[in-house]
Amino acid sequence: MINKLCTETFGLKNPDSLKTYMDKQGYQAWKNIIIEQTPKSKIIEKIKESGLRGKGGAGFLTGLKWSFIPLLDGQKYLVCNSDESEPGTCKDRDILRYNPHSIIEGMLIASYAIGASVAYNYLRGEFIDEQWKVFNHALSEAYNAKLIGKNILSSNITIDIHALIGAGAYIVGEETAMLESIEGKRGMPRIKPPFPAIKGLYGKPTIINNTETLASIPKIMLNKPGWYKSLGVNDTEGMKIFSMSGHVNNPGNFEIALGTPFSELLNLAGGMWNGKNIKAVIPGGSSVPVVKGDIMMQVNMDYDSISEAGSMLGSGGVIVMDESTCMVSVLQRISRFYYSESCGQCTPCREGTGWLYKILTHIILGKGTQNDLHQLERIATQIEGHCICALGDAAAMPVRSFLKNFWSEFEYYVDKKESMVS
Amino acid sequence: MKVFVNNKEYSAEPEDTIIELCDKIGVHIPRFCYHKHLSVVASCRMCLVDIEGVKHSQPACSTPLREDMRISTKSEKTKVAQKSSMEFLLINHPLDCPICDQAGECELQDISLEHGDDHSRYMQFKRVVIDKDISPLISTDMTRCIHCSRCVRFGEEISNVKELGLLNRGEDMKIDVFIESSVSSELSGNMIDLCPVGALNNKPYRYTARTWDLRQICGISPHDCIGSNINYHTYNNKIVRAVPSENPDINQTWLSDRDRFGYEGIYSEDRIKKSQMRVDGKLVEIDFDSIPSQVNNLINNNIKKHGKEKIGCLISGQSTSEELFMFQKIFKGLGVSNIDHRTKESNFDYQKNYPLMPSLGCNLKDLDEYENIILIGVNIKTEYPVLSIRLNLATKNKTRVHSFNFKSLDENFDLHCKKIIDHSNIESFLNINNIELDQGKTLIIIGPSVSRSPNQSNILKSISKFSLLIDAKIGFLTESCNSTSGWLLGNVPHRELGGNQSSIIGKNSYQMITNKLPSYILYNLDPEFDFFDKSLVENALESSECNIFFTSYITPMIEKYAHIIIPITTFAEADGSYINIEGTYQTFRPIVQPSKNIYEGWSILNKILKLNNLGDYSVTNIRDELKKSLEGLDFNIPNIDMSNINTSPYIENKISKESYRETNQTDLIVRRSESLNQATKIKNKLSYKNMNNEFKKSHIDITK
Repeated sequence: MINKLCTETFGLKNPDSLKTYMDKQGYQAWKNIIIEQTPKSKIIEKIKESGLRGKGGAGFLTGLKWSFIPLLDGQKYLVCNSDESEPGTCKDRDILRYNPHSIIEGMLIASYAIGASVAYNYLRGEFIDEQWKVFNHALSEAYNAKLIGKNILSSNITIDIHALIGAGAYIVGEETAMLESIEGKRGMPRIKPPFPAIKGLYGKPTIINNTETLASIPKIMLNKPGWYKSLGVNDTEGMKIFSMSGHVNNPGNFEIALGTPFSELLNLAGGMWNGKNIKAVIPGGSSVPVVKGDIMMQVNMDYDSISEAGSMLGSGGVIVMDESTCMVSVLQRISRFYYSESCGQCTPCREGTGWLYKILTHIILGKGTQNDLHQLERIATQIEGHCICALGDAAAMPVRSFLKNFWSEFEYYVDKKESMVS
Repeated sequence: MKVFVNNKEYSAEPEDTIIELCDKIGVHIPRFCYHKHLSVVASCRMCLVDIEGVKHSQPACSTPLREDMRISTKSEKTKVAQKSSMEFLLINHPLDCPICDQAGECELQDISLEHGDDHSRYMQFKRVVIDKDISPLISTDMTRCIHCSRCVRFGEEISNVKELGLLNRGEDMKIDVFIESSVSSELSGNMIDLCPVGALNNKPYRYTARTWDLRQICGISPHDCIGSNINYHTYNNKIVRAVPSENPDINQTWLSDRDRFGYEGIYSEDRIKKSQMRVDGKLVEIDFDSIPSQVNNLINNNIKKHGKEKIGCLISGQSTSEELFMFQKIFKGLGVSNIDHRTKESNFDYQKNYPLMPSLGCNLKDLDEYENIILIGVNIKTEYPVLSIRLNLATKNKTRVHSFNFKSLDENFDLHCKKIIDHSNIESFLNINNIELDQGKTLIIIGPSVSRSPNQSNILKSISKFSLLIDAKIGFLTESCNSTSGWLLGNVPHRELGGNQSSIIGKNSYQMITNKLPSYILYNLDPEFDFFDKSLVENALESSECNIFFTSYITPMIEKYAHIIIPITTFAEADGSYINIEGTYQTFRPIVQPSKNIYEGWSILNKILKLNNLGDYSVTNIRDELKKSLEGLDFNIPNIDMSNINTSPYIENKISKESYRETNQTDLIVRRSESLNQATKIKNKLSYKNMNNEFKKSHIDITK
């Protein structure tokens, strides 16, 4: 791997320190902006031009998102979404741990570009032991170096960054639920419109970006236009961290060019565990549809080709499953997650996720019938598209894709009261 | 703006949502969480509708209209979406309608008839929620809850008392309280109405009747001068519950707990069932037939014996306008001018300069147009709970509310400033430098605690001076629901029907009591509670030769001193009308029939009137005459000048317990409402001070 964006300081000595980051041209982009007083529109233009897409899951164009913010004066906010809770995803955890300054610099540039004087980094509750401390330490280092705060580098620019810690709810990773949580309310998604860029935190225009997205920004600003685009291979643009987990020899985070074939990524992760055959892959965190292994081996890791394969790139949490995996059990486990993480606000998700999980448990206990399988499919269809936020869809998509791709295995389980593989 | 609903073209307001438009044009969209007075959460997903060009069905309650939008409320896509929401709502809802009090008026039941399936596909265990005893007024069956969160939003947005909240998440989410029995606001009953299912129900009414057996009759609240519209539900000639009747100008869709549960007072055990007369020192029951002539003889004999100025006529401001009209008609007709309805007051220097009638000075719905509202001597929360909703919404808009009271009081809405004033320092206190006023219109609202003060006239004078200085309007909130009629219909010693000055000025209520007259007529009054000073009344009644009580209830004092007791109907059993504080004249019919020996107050008075050849009236006649004398009255008096009242010097006064009253103490009916008394008892037990003491008791001091 030649190019490193967010993972640049990984593996170095004291990777989270300001000095290490500075040695790698850290804060250079921010200093340039401060010295040149770069116009805000120019920064947004450059990010737009780079084709950077949001790396939290939806893949929305970052520059376009920023351009939605009203140009009027007044309080605006930037929120960094470090509530990384998607099962299978662990990229932000490492960026926070090993390269926190890239996030801070990204947040500063983004805040400057949208005209926000206050930015929040919302970390998931489980990060309290390590990432929270590391990030806060990095924040104080940056404050001491006068890179954040009042009169940054004596330039009349004021940007404050605050780190916040969540209380362990998956749903707070949804951007509007995060805003509610920051305001001190129950973490429940808001109805859209109005979108946060118009009416967000405390009713003010707010931009919410993923940790990895913001951590990518300093390098993009530092390099020439077109540089980020050129990083991709096979007609795609940019880079992405993939978190490899499951039945691979060497699980972990791998920052690769978008468009890299999946087989190559699998090799980076040390290939299949115990040399077994690949059965299925969930390519973008547990909420995206599952793809059969043989199809996945033909796919390149980019937005379009994964979409062609019937799934989504999502947050980049790749879960690899070998031939010994019981798909019924996997689906039951996934459904349990969404059942217990539904916020309970809107009906289809509150009632539907529980129903799905209960039927799957019924099947696992050997009490299922053919009818239950049709029932599952029907309930998933009834949830999809009828909820306030995407959690309902996230619960429904795996159910539908598992049934579609592995119907015979589910049928076998229902008939024989035992798994096909064990 | 042009939109299409089910292929029909409609013109719409651009700021409306789909559901608002459909409600206007009469296209029904099922809904649970949506309520026109609450914020939109779009969480029940029942109102999903199909919009052309949009992939998924959208909630009608939160989707704003667009030009040329094509909405379909009947398409297959809409049906599928609504049907699936319905199925999800029903899977965990117990299907126990036969034993649920809500059955028959349940929104879930109604909508499931149209959108639900005839069988359930849910084969798993249903959710069960353990109930807490949240309030003596509200019963809970939280297993039936469909999480529409209307009750939670009511607390957050309307009553501003956050009593119910959401606990837990996902399927385990429940509506609950943190401390048992802590739902105790004066408006808590509204959550019963808001609940679309049988989760929150009316506790006193529980299991008394099925909704489809009830008769509904509209009444007017007799408990405060706001005049809330109430639908009384009766079963077998008995009121079993009260629900709000929507009136956008007065109470909107809300009702205070006092209005909702106050009716219980009419079934109190001390209700008089038959007329009584003192014979040889003992009260004996007599037939009604001889009553009018007996009373008439007593009155006329007393007038002959002691003179017209030696008879004291006192009537409650809670009486209907018909009763007030007849009362003054008789006594003024007989030449008696000692007539008064202001029994709680003791200082009357102000009366000559007082406006024609007490009025709020503006319409209730216009309160939010004022930048500043200054409350003096009133606790809106306990005495006018429905008004606190209006003020809460006004403070959220632009209004600053200042509260000046004789003791520290809390309100349900945000107070810009709260100060304790003293009777003697009010003049120096009402000073522009002391009060932080916003630019714009100011309304000063004078409450009943001012009129209960022995320094009332001094206070009114100071307020009036101040109001002229800052060009503010003065409004009043009165003691009783019909005090306005009391003034307008001449139930004051110095004015005639319609408010004209009397040639002879009679004694006011305080003079009548302190002068120990030889005979008294008390109409609809509780001598124990409805007077300025209980012991003075007792002395007066004791020394009097003849006490005639027209009353619905017997009290120890009445039992001891009455010479004749004539049972009269309460508000619920008679034709009547009230004039509320903004000047709305509202009439009502009898809700239930009175029991055998009780007659309508005005008709008894009419019989006496007839015996004196002073006229003969029917309800229609009275109302015609009433309307004639009220014609052309303007309740929006621009400015009230009482700055040149001749006042007597200040009286040192300790704030008596009576100066402010609990919500269940304001009139003789609510004082007898079992449920309200129970609720107040529990509420006081839960007060911060008590809880703090409990806490201290249960914790050992570790410093020792």
